[in-house]
Amino acid sequence: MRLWAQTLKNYMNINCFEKTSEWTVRENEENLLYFQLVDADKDNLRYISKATVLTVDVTFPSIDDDSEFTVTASNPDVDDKSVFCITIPDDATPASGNFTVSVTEDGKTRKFVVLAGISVELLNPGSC
Amino acid sequence: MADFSDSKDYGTAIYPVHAKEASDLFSRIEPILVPKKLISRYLKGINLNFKDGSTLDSEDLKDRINMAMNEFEELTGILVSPTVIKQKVPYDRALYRQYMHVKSEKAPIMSLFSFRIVSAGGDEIFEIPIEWIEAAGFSYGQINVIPLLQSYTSMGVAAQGSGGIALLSILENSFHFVPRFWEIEYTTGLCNKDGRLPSIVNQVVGMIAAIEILSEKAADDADTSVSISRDGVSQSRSGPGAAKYQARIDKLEEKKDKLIEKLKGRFSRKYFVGNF
Repeated sequence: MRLWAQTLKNYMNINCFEKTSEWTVRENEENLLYFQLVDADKDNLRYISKATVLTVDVTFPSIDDDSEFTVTASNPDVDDKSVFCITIPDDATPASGNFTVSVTEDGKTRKFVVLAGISVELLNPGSC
Repeated sequence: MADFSDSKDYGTAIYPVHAKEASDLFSRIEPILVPKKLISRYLKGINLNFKDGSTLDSEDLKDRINMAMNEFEELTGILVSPTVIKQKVPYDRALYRQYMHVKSEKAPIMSLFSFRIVSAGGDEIFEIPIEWIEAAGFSYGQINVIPLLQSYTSMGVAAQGSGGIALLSILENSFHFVPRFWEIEYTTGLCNKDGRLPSIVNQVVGMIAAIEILSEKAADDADTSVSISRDGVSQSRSGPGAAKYQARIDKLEEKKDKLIEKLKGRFSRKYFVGNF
């Protein structure tokens, strides 16, 4: 089994959301982002963990130690434990590109990379 | 990952080269290219479905973009995202006398962590004080060591420099050439912050990806003429077949090649003048 995260947008409830190829956010804003755990080996069928203790972390990598950060995901609705949400605080802007998801089920951890999963619109696009 | 708190940079933007400040009235920098942007720029009106029923979905387009970025890196020799490089460069007495003229394998240099003499066994023999490093040539990978500083007299640098100066002056009279003598560690990339790229780079990456996709689409449409007839009624149709997108592909190829040459020129020097 290979887990993967399908990014979502316009999440209202577990019956009302859209799949999206990447999250699009603006820098320096607090963002509430949703994703669904799916099994890549089963045509991206949703994955509901049976673990007693489940921890899902999302890491936004950076070459700079000071810019990399990890947020812990939570279930927005107890009726569908495949859907998770994370809050990105306004003082921690992720970089556009890949992000890493770590799923720990009763002490056993799986990690995977979501390719180009987030795009961050810039406020200062004149130079870099 | 790297700790950038103790590294040397020139204090200007990587792009535009040496920009100290830029108004944000005009956009030169973008997030990394995404499938929606690729379609809106290069693939509008192109049916991404194939005759066998398969389709290029957003994950496929992401993969094509990723491949295009890797291809861009190989074509230009420029690494797109910030990457820490550790390399060794030779000691050359003629260049050494020109304020230790050293060229990095990759450019532009975003910041330099260390410039050291390290033995083949990995032991550090001497580290050049970071204050002596001249960063003005970082945009095309040139590092100079110019210890002509006011900080010569400051306690910190003087303490590091006193032994160092003696060592460095011995060097000048000892060897002509020592391979793999200096070890430099630096970060290269096209933007001071992760996940951003000059628009012009996204443009080239998009062209590379679009050329690939248009080629796939062209191969899917190989028929140049189709005719059907039955009971005296007939219909025929002819078209360019596999050459359908050739004009567009040629235009993109031509423009891509020009932009790549410009970008390579921006971040490197084609010839090197020594003083032997």
